[in-house]
Amino acid sequence: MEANRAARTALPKAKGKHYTTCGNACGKKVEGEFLRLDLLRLPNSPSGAQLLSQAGVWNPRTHTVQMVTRKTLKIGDKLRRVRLPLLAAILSLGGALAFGVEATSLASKRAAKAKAAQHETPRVTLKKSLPATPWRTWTSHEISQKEAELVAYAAGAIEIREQNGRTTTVRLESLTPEDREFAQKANRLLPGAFVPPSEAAAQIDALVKAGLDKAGLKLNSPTAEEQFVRRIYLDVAGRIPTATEMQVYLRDESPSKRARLIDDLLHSAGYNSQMFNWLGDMLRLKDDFGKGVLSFVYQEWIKERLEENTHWDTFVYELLTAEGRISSTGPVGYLLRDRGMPLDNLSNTLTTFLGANVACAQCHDHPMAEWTQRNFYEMAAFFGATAQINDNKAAIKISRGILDKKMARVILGPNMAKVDTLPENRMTFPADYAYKDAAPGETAHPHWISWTKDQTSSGPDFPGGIAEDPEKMRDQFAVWLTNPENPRFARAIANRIWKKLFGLGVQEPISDLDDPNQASNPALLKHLADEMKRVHFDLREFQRIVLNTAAYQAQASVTPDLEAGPYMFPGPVLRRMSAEQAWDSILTLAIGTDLDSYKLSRADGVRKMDIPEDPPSPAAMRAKAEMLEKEKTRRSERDIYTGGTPPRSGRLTLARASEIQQPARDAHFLRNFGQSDRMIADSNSVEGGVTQALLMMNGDVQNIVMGNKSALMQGAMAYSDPRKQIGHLYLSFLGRNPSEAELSFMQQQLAKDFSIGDLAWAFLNTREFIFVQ
Amino acid sequence: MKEFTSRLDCLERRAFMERCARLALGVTVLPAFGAAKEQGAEPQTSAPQVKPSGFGSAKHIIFLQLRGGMSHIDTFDPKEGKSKGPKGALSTKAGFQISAFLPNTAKVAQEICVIRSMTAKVGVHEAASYLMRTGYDPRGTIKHPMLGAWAQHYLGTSHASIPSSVCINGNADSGNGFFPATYTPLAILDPSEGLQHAQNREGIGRVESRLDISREVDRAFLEKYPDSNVGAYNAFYDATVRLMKSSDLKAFDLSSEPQAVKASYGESDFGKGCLLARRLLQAGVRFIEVKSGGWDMHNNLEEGMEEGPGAEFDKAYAALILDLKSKGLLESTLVVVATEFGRKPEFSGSGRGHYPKVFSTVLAGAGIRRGYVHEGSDALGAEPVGQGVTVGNFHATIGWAAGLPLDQPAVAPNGRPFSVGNRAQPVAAVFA
Repeated sequence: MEANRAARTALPKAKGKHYTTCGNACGKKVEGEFLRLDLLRLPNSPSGAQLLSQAGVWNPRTHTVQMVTRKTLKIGDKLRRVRLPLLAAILSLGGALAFGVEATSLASKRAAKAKAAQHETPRVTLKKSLPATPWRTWTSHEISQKEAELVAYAAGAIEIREQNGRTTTVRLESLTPEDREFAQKANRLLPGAFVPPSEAAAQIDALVKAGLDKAGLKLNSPTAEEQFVRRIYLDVAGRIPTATEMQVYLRDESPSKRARLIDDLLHSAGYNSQMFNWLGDMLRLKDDFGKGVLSFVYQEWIKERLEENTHWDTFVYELLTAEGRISSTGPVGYLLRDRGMPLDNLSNTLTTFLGANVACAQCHDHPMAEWTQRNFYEMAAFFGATAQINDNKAAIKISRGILDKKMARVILGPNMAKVDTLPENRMTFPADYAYKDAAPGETAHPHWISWTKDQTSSGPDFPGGIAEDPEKMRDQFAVWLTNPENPRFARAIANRIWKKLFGLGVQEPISDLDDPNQASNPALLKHLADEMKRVHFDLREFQRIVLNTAAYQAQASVTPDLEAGPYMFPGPVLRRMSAEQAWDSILTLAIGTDLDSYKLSRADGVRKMDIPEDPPSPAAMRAKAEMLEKEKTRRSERDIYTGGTPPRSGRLTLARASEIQQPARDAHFLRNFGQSDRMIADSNSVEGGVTQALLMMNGDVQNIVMGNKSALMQGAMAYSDPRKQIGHLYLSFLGRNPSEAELSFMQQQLAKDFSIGDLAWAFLNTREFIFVQ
Repeated sequence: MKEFTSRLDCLERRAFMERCARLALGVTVLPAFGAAKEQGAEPQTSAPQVKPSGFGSAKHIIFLQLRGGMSHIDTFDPKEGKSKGPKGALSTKAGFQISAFLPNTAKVAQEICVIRSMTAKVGVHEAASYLMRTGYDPRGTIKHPMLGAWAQHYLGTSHASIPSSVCINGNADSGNGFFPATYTPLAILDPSEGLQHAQNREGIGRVESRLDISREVDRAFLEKYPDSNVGAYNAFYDATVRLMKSSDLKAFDLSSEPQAVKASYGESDFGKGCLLARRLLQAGVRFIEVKSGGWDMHNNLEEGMEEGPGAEFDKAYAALILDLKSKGLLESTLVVVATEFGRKPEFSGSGRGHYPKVFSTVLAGAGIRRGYVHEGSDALGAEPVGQGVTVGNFHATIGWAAGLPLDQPAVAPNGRPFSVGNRAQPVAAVFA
C-alpha cells in the first residue's frame, strides 16, 4: 500500500496490552507494548475518502514489531485536522488506544476549543525526542564497560559500535535496566528508520565528497579540537565556551567526546536561546505589533515549543492554523504579524517555508519562473475566510467613560488582535487583474499550485477536491504545506539548517528554490530533504546528524566567490559571529555561565489583560482597570525575569539576545552588529562597520569585559602567575592556548605599562575573536 | 502553457511572455529598457540624447528614503473623485497641488520638482527598496552599490577623516555594494545620540598602542585566512582610528544647534536625522541617507499621515529646504525624496495596498528646476502619463547632477560592468 500521507508518533504508555494482528499473523493476539500509530491514506480507494490507521506493537516475546488492527476511517468533517494535532490529542488522552480516532478527534478538538474559550493556551504538541545521547557507556555482564554508540536493535539484542569502529552485539537481558530502557526508547522513537547518527552523517559526507570530486576538490583537513569546541559552542549554544568549559573538554580523553559534546549542547539552554534568535530573524519576531498589541504570549509559545523540541511540521502547522486572541493563544502571532496584509503574509509563508520565489506573482505573472498571479490568488483563497482582526470598534465604544485613551490601549489592545474564521471565502482577484482567466473582483477559489519538472508531486489531494468550506480551507492549506510529500517543505528547511551550520545553503538564495538544478549539489540537497523527512522534521536530530559530519568538522574556508562557481562545502565558511553570537559571547566573558539562567517572562502581563467575552463588558473593563491601578507601584511587566535578575551595566541588561527586547532598540550593540530590525525576513547581517569598531574600542562592552568584576577578569586574577593569566585570556577569548612565542610577547607587554585589562581590550578587538573558524 | 514555456530558454520564455502579455492583455510586463538590456542592445531612453544641463551641480546629496511605500495620492499627486483619500489638496504658489496632509511642504512647493510619473514593476518591499537604493534589481550573487559609493568611486573621498557617506536611522545595508568595504556608509542609528563612543577616555594614543597588541594576536589568524570579510574588518579599524582623530567629530553632535532650529525640524528621529544631515554636509560629507519608517499604510493611512511619519516628514522636509536655502547650501545640495513604490488608487477606507506602476519622487536644489512637476499620472493615479520615469532614469538623473560619468561603467570584482542607473538616461527636463 502506498502511503501518501503518513504521520507517525510514539505513544507513551499502555505497555503490555493485547492487540490483534493483521498481515501474516492475521488474527492472532499478541501482547505488546504500543509503539506508534500510522495514518495512511488510500490513494484510490473506492469510497474515495478513506484513511487506514495501523499501529505497530513491540512484542517482547518475539522481539519483533507487528502491525495490528487496521481500521478504515472516513475523511470528512469529523476528521478535518487529521494530522499531528489529532495524534497529539490522542496522546493527551494518555494511551486511549481504542482506535476511536473519529470520536476522539472530534471530542478532543471540541475540548481544545472549549479550553481556548476559557482562555487557556491549547496545548497540542508532540513531545518526541531522542534520548540525550546514543553515545553512552554500556554496562553488561557479558562485556566489560564500553563507550559506544547504539547502531542496531534487533531480536533481543543490540549492536553497539565504538569510536574505533569495532562493533559488538550484546543481548538485551545482559544489560543494566537503564541501558535496556535506553535502547528500547531509542528504537521506539524512530521505528523502522533508525539509522545511527554516525552512519547518517557518513551518508551525507559521501554526497559532499562526490560533489567535491566532481569539481576536483578535496575536503579541508579536520579541525583541531580547540577550533571544533569554539565553533560548536557558537553554532549550537550560541556563545563561546568559557575557559573552564574548554579545559574540561580538552582534558576529556574519551574517543567519542566530539559526539558527546554535540549531544550535550543540543540539549542545553543555550540551544533553545540560539534557535529562538534564528527564528526571530526568519519570522520577524517583534515585541510590539502596534496599537497596544504585544506579542509576548506568542514569543513564550515559541520558546516552549523549542524547549519541547516540537517538530518543524507541527510547529508550522500550528502557526498557520491557530485561532484566537493574541492575549491567550500564542501561535496566532504568526498571522497577526502581518495583519491587514494577508497577501504579504502568504508571500512570506511560501518563501520562508517552501523557498518559493512567489513575491512577484502577487502583482503579475512572474517574468522568469512558473508562478502566475492566478496561482498566487488561488493560494491566497485558502485564507479567504480567515480574519486577522486588529480593530475592535465596539469595544472602544463601550470603553468610553470607563477607560481613558491610554488605559483603553493597554487593556483593549491585547484583546483586539485575533484570528477568526469568516462565514465565507472573501478572497477576490485584484481590481487591476490584467489576465483573461479571471475578472477583477471575481472570487478566487482555493487551489494548490503543483510542482513541475522533477518536483513532479502535486502534493496530497483531498478526495473529491478541495472543500471550499470556510472552516476547512486554512487547515487544508497547512496540511498541504507541511506535508512530508510536499517536495518543497522538507527541502526548504533542510537547506536553511545547512546554511545555519555551514554559512551557505546547498542552494542559494534559500528563499528561492524554484529551480532544483540551481543547487550547488542537487543530490546532496535531495538527500538532506529525505533525511529531514526520515527524522520527522525533528530539527534537533537533523542538526545532530549534520554536526557529526566530517564536512562540518573540517577546517573553515574563506568566503568563496560564488560568481566563479558554486561552493562545494569542503568545510564551513569562515563567518563573522552573528550579532546574537557576539553579544552572548561578550556576556559570557562578563558574567560567565550564569548567563544561561536568566529567562525573560513577560507573557503573564499580557495574559492578565485577556477578556474572553466579545465584546468586553463594562464590568470586565472596570475589573482590569482596577487591577492595573493596584499594581501601579510595581515594576514594569516588561522586565520580569525568572532564574534571577540579570545584572545591568548602564542602559544594558546583561541577558542573552533572546531574553531582551525583540528586536533590540535601535542603537543597541545587537543592532549595530547587524541584528535584523525584523521588518524583512532573513535580514540579519554580518557586515562590519566603523560604528562596530567604535563600540568594541570605546563602548560599554569594553567596560563590562575589562571591569574588575567581570567573570573574565576574576578568572584571570585568580592566578598569580602572569603566564597563567595570559593563558586564561587566550582560552576565554579565542578558545585556544597561546604558543610559547605568544606567551613571551604578552609577558613583555605586561612588563611595559599594560595591565591584564589592557590585554583583554586587545583580545576583544581581534579578528580572531569576532570570526568563527 | 506552463510546460511549454518551461521548455524555452530564459530569453525566449521572457520574450514569449511579454509578447503574450502585449497581444492578449494590452500590458507591458517589462519596463522599456528591460528587454532590450537582455539582448545587449542600447537601452531605450525616456529622455532625449542631448546632454542635459546641471552636470556636477550637486556637491552633496541628501537622500530621504521613505520606507514602506509612500502613497503618491496622499502626498505629491493628490486626486479628486474615485481615488481621493481622507484629505483634499492644497494649492501652492508653484501652481501645482499638494495633499492637505503636507501643509508645510506645500509652502516650499516653489523650491521643489515633483516627478509624478515614476514607474516600476515590483510591489514587494525588499526587492523594490533595493532597486530604489541601488538602481538595480536584487541578484543572489552580487551586491550593487548605493549612490554614495558610486560617487566615492568616481570622485574620491569627500573628507579626509570622516566617511564620505553616512546613513541615518538605520544600518548601512551593504551600501558599498561591490566596492571596497571602506565605502560603506557610516551608520547613525539614533541621530540624537550622534556618533556614539567616538572617544576613548584613555586617549587615542593608548588605543593605538593596544591595537598593536591586537595585531600581534591576530598575526597567525590573518595569515591563515586571506578572507575578504576579515580584510574589510581590518580596513574598518583603520578608518575608525582616523575618525577618532578627526577634528570634525562635532558635526555629529546636534546639541550645539540653536533650540529654534531644532524645533523647526521637529522632535522625530526623521527630523533630527534631517538636521544632522545638514550638519554633516556642512562638515564635508558627500552623501547622506536619512531613513523614515512606517509608510506601509495598509490600514492606518489617516493616522499615519496626520500624526505619524507623514506629519514628521512634512515638518522636517520643509524645514530642511528652508534651512539649506537660508544658509546658501541648496544651490550645491540635491535633496531627494525616494520611496520603494506608491499605493493603490483604491482607498479601502483605512488605507491603500502596494502600487509600483505609478508613484512620485521629489528632487530639489542643485541645478534642479524649481516649482516644477515632471509628467504625471492619469485621473485615478493609476497609470503614468508621458514617457514615465524608471528607477534607472531616476538614478541616472541624480548621478548626472552629482557629476558621475554615466557612460563609464565600473567593473565589479566578478568582471562584469555596472553603471549608475543601469545604463538608463537621465531625465533632462528636470534640470533648470
